Amino acid sequence: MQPLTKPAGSEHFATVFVHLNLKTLPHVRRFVRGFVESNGRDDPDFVSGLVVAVHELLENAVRYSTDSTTSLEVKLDLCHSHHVVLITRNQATRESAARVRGQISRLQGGEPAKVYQEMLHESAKSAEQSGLGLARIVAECQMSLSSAYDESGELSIEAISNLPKVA
Amino acid sequence: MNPVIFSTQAPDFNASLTAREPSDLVLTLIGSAENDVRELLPTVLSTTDDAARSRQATRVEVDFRQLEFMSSSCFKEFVAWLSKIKTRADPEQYRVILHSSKDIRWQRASLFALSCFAANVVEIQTE
Repeated sequence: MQPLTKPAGSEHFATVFVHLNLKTLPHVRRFVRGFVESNGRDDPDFVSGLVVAVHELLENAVRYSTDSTTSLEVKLDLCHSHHVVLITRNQATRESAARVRGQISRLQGGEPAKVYQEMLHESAKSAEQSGLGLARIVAECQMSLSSAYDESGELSIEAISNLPKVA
Repeated sequence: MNPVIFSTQAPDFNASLTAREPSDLVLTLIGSAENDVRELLPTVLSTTDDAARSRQATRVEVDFRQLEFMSSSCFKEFVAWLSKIKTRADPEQYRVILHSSKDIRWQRASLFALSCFAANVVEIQTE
């Protein structure tokens, strides 16, 4: 039987706290790119997708956060499950959290490419928040999304990507 | 050098519309399309559309090969532009040729999504 606890050093973490400023996002993208590449994940398609996902998660979080701080956590599990996890956390109104969670539910409940095209058509007709950023993460970056909203008003969104095993 | 019809810039972004021939337009995008660029793109794309229609262009080329990044908020402006073109009657439509770089990986999936969205309007050429 495999032990339930992971051996020390099996995960690499980075957590970034971003103050409410969209201008910091290029710097965070560069940091995440450097972090994953320095941990042996240098496949250009994977890194590009991850960078897109980081941007879209953070832009959403920063734009709709109700306080001054948004956090991004990046987890690379190098030894066991061979995946990367991105988590953003921010304070959000009940309404914006419900909207985001509805968009995630829609994306996870259907065929990603089809839902993405539906969202593109909808976004062309409406100036409302379209969910295209989340759709990009699922359909273009091939990551899965989940979310939680707690009593303190914190919205967390988790994006998970499977990675090829490190040789 | 091709005559410049329109150009604009933001920090780390530049867009210019040129005419190779009177009815052969090229929109070149350089840098990163995010943040402030979201405010510029509607003007960039409506100017391109106006120029294409007034010159009765049959095609407009958009050169993405030096565009390192584009956020979904900017991507949405391209969706709106293509939507406007594809809902016009045939004689008023023009083709949109998207030039992409194989070395800038986000472009493959994003521009493919645009080509699916407006299949009769968009063509992708990757170099």
